[in-house]
Amino acid sequence: MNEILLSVLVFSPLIGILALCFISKNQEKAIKWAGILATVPALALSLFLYSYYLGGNNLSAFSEKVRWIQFGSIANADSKLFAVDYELALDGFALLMVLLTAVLSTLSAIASISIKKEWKGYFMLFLLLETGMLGVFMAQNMVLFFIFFEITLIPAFFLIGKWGYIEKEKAAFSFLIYNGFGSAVLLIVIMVLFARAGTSNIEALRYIINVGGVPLVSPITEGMKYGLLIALLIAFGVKLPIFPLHTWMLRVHVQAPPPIVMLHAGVLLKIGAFGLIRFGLGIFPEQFKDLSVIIAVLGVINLLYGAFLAFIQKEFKMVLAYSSISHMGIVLIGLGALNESGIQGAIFQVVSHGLIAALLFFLVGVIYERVQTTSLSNLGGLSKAMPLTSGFLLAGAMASLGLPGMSGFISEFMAFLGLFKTDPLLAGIGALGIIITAVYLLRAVMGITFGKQGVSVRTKAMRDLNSVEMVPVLVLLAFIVIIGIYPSILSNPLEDTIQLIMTGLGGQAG
Amino acid sequence: MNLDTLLSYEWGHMAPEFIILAVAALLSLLDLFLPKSYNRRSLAWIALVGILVAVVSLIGLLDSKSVSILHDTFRLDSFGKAFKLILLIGAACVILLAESYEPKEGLKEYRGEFYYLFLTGLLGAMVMTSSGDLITLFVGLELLSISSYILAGMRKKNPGSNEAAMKYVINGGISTAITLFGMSYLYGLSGTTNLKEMSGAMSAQAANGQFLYLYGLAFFMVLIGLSFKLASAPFHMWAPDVYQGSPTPVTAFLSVVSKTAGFVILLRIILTLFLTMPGDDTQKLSFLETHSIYISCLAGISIIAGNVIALRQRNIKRMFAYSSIAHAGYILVAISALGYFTFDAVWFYLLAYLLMNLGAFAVIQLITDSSHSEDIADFAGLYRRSPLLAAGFAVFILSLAGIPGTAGFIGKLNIFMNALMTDPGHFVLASIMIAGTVISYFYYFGIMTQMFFRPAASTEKIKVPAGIGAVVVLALAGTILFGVAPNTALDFLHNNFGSFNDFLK
Amino acid sequence: MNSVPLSAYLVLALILFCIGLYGALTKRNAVIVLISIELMLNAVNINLVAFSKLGPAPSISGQIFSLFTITVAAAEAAVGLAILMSLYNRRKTVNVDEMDQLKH
Repeated sequence: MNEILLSVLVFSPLIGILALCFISKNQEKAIKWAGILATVPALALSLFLYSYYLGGNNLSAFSEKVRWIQFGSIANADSKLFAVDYELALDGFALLMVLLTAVLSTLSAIASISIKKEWKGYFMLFLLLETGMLGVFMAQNMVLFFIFFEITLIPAFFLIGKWGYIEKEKAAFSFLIYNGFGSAVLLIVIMVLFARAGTSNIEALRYIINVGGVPLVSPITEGMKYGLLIALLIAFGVKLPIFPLHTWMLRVHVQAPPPIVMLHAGVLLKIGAFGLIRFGLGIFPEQFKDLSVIIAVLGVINLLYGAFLAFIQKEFKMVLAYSSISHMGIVLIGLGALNESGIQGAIFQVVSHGLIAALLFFLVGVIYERVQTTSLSNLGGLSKAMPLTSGFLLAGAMASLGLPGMSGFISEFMAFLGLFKTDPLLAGIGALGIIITAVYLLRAVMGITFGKQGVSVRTKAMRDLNSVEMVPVLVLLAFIVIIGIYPSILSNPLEDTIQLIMTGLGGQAG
Repeated sequence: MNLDTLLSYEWGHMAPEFIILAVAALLSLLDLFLPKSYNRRSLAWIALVGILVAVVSLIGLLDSKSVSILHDTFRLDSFGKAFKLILLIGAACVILLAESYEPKEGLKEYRGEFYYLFLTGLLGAMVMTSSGDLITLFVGLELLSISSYILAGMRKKNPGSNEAAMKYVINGGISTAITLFGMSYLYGLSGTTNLKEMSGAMSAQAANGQFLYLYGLAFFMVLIGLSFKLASAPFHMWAPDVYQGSPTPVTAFLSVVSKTAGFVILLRIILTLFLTMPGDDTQKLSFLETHSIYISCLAGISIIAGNVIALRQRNIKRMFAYSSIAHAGYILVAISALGYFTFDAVWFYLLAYLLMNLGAFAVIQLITDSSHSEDIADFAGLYRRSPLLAAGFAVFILSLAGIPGTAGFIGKLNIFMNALMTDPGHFVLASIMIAGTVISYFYYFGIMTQMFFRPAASTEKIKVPAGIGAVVVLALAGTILFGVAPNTALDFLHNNFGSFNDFLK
Repeated sequence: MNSVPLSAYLVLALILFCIGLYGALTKRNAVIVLISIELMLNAVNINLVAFSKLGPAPSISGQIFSLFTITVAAAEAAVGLAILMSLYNRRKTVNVDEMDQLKH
């Protein structure tokens, strides 16, 4: 069982797709149940792995490796050149991401009960998306990573384009083209490494790039390494998104159906951060060091730009979309700091923002369903009509602006702690962003909950959260608070990963 | 040459060609003598059986060593076998499409010709794959071309079809003349039409610095002439018109079989003659290396032009014409970045392209025939009218766009690897190729939008004829199989054909 | 015995080829276009025959090649004219410029 556990974990949603094939497309209830249940095995397995890992056991027992594609002729097979294996494995960081994915998938599957049409197609694509996301974090070579990465693209395109709001097709296309561009750049990086080194295994590449001494098919020059790292920065910068490459993400967050935005903001954006850490920092640490200032600057720009624009938005969804950009800046700040606390902060931020963004976007979805608008001016005084929703919204906003005791605080604190050590000036400028964050979030949320009653809010006709909708809210909030109070449930699994990264950086003082 | 020497050749190795020839002759005779009222649709099945028998006999020959008949005018080497297999599979699918073809005004008594002309065209392509002599290569090329001219104009009552055929004849004629002019110099300077001897003579002359400019001219003219056949930009002008005007099975034939044949003859001539020939009297670089920039230009321009112009097409067949121009560009990248994987990459890409493109054309034929229009809007709501067909078409489009999980992705991977592993790598070409791929998302996913997001004009269910259904299923199975487990194809290639070591021997 | 040098034949063929190419690309009348293509093919024949007699490595195969070329050119012309006839029956024109139905 151990040898195939990870595969089962990755592909378990596909069982749901198979089951859905046999359900008639009009049986709404059955389809939704099947869709939700199909996400449960992945959740259960990842929880098991998490507790297993926390118990002090090594995850390498679960690694899988099977020869998959052998390019070039058979005579060449012994040298293992140009072979692509099907290899899955987990380390602490990947485990956290898998757990995040599994949790958010189940929760957004529950949130998907609000979907109004063509449930069968919806859940099939949804489950395919989950498989892609899970696979991305476990892939041990770049080709496999890319394949899972692209697998997320197609279902997301359809989910946005078919089940989204008014301008859904435009949003779907800009999602597709921007991400297509990003993955195209990524593919070039992967193919350059694969074609020249003859392998795409991350470990092997780490060794080849940093230590060298291995005979290569064609040389990889120093200049080429910088080129590759910058290309990686662009590729994942689209996904993250980093400042000038972000416009697609705004459209998606406004137009996509709420459960998909939950997944998108919660997991898909984080693939960018994951990739940057895994490949950028993992394979090219030397070069990353040289570019770290630029990355930190980009992070500060992201943080401030997102915050300022969030401040002037009139749509709550847009506020949250810009706030996502702003918060991803913190990830970059942490990475740019290039020390232990910075990197830890970056990874914390990835997880924590995943949870917070999912919570907020879920609540926005709920509000939109009731009120049919997310315009700030029309939404005042919601606390009378929907007290629970307003309360949770406030809690989410507090978490997002980094209130101590919630997960957002820990990650922002650590990321900035890191940057203050290496570049206090930049960190000082960046810290302004935190203040603006508090301002815009409070402005928006206070306006919605306590402000003058908006035109669209009618006290009587609106239901508050129902019991099904409470599930995602409570679970997410629970995670946010637990991480805030007891951060070592995140930091313990991360120890090994960060250790490895720090060794790659040449044991720089932490 | 007496009878004994003639009989001493291993004619059995030409079995696939003989079978196709015999079936074509049989069909033309049947067509001639059968009563006019007889429905000639059944002739398609005879043609199909003929092709399948040829496939079987070819598989029987897979293990045999390289064989040369009549001083290399026919040679069965692994290169020939590998590409002949692709041609035969492609032609079999095209025949299935042709069987189900039902234009508005009907094909009436021309239906018989329709089938055996495919076979003669196929025969020409097969001769091209396994010939080591300029004369037979040329005759094969023309056999294919002339058959396709007639096929393009098969709908005699349809002005579009007539116009397509006319344009094809004129462009084809010009390209033939240009190719031939180049060939005449190749022959004249080396004094032989046998490719191997020619290569030897050319190397000797070039090593002394003789005739380099004339050989350059010949190379250039042959390349230009053949790139008409490949429909690579800037010599692609005929393709959109011809693809649009021809009957859909013929379009499929042109985009798959004819294009494959074009690449085969290009590889045969260019590689055999110019690979070992020194580029100048210093003998540092080979002729091909010093001149590969021309192929790179063709590739780059094809990718950009094909993908960009496809963006503004409303006619689905025209759009696929431009897409096929872009795909020709992708394959040319593999040829221009000559390396260890060139043959693998070209072969695999052509195989993948055959499957995905034939599958796509099968669906296109079905939809355009039933709606009597070729506008992309006819695909609106296909998902409602026939979910399975829409899903199949979606897979073909994803494969054409190079999304993982499909054969098209592995094909592109192969080409990239080939382009980037050399030192210095072909970074510019690879970047153009990948940029082209991203541009292509626009129009490929535009079709998806029509199929899945837009409401259907009619809710009428679509009835899938047997021939088209078979092609779609076969292509779908192949596209996914070679995408998920590409080693089924790659191992087959390597086990049976090695690394094409006998290509130059 | 032979006073005309090879280069003269080659230049003649080249000129003929260029005239043919020019005609094929610029003429409006489809019949003239087909004739121009024949001109180009005949330039090839001159080349082949001249090379086979006077080339740096004379051999008979050039003449055989030219036989094939002639045959193929004839077949191509026949098919071309047949298609032109069919087109003419529909459209009552042989003007290449008027063959413009197939546009996006």
